[in-house]
Amino acid sequence: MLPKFVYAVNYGNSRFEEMWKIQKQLHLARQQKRNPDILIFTEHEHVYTFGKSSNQNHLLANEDELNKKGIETFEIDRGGDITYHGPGQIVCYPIINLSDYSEDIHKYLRNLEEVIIRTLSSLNIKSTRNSDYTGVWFENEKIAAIGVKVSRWITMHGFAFNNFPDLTFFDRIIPCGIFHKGVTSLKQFGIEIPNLELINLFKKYFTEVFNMEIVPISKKELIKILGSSILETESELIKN
Amino acid sequence: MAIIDVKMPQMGESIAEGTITKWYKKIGEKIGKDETLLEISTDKVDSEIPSPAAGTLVEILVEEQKTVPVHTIIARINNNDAASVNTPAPQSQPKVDEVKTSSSNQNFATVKLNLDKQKETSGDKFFSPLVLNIAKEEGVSVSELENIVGTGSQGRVTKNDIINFSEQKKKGLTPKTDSSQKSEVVKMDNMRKLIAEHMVRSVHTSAHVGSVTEADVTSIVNYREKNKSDFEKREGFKLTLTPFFLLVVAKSLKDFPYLNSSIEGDSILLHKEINIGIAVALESGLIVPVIKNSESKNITDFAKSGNDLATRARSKKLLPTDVQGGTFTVTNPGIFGNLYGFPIINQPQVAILGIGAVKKRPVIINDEIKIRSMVYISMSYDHRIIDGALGGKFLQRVVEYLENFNTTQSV
Repeated sequence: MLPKFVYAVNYGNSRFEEMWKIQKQLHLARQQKRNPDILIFTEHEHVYTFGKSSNQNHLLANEDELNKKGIETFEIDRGGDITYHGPGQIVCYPIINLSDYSEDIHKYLRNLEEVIIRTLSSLNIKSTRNSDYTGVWFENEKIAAIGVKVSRWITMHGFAFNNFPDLTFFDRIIPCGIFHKGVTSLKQFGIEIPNLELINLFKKYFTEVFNMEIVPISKKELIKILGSSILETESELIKN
Repeated sequence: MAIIDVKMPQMGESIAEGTITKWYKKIGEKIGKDETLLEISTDKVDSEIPSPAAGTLVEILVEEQKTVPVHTIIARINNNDAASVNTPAPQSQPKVDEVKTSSSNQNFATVKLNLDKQKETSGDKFFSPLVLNIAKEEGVSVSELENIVGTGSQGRVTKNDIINFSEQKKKGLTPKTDSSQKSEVVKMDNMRKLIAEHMVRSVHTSAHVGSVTEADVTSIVNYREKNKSDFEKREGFKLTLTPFFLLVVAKSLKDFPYLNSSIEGDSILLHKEINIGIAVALESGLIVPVIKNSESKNITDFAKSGNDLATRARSKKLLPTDVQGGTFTVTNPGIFGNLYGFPIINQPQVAILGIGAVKKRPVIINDEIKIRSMVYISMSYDHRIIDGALGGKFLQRVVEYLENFNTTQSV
């Protein structure tokens, strides 16, 4: 099979809401075959997000605490329970057409895990899957969380990988509603690697696992793809 | 009434059940085909499920937040009203065939409508009641009607069209009908769809410009003649001219790094590795396996990797890594006897070189006509970063290396 061409963009920092809008737009445009497959890599400001199967009680922090720390919360359209995103964590949003790969969402989850497992393995860390809980684990601690939405086989949302986030933010939630397990990060293993280098490793293993040919594009080009509507989002941001 | 069952789709081979998280429609509401009907959740994935048919949602059998096994009937849609606008009552009820959902790729509850000949308005074409009445009186069947080339707005069949048609029919002439009936419909396979997407994307991405040059390869042809039987005995496959071209292209790319590059945003990435892709024609389609680290290879290396990749390409045994990471592509329109071609750049590369057929031609050397083995070499390159001067110089370097090939080396 020929490799599938996929754009990849290093978006840098973003607010969750801004990126969610971009995702929704790309997701719709992909369904209408107006743009190619895209992988977005970004790093969010502090945010807690609730998936569809969330239990509000899994957020332990109260409103005062959230305000004080400047943490936003969103109820969103992905699978899974509550999670945290913030600086030091790489979030990857693949907006791809599974019909070009395999129309199987489990296979897709396993492939995302495989990308992360191979990336870690290249750093000499032997991570594993857990047959009950999607995500990538090291013993009883999760290093990468996965939550996905699929419409007409077009994916959105994706995975969040803990490079060097402040793990205390996870103390104030029950991540993914899993009580008895912890969270870890690459930094905990004594590995310090810049986000950009890690993103390059992810891209390398996306290429291998999904048989993709990745075409890097700049943030500017992504905005061009999004067309004028994103400019509104941008100007909103400037106003804010 | 045509009632269509909506089933819990199987979103993957290992998925046995799904949870309904949201119904987008209430009972009694109308829904279009492919409009989102509900949302389901399985493990870490939420999926929006489109309606298998147009009609009215008449029954919801599984409530939100309930989990049921795949293929369970979860709702029913009455699609009768969708097909009956503006039509005389059909003589027989539309027949509904449900496509089996057992095969693994049939994940949505797909329903195919077989409306037989009651298709007056449900198909792609609209016919006015007047046209339908005339058709009925003149004995024009629906399938004939569908194939009349309409002259009205948006290709609609007008009163005049149907009258002309029936008059011609009466005269025993074959009236002009839509050509689609006369064409065989071939569905594109995945590879064809991918090639189509790649090619169009490339044309949209790069500013293609082309140059053609010619080279005298007589000495290379003679060298190959001299060495080919020994080579075949030793290696077990034939020595072709392609490795010679690959060798000089790799050498020339070393001299012109911009030809071995790609564009990323406002930057040009000059690749340190020279990975030459070779276009291999398959029975239907083509694939471009890549010879990695071409900069350090000799004729025998090129012959071996080229032969290996082409063989595995044709027997469909290429690995994903065999087709990745190319930095330049060589294609060979000469195999089909063509003099030269105008290839399309293989993204994200910036140039592709085409080798024409090697033919003996009369050539003037020192005012004498000589018989020489000649070849045309064409190249398409991306004018965004390679101007005609650079592209032209590169091609002439290829010619220079071809014409001055060291024939004393061993192969």
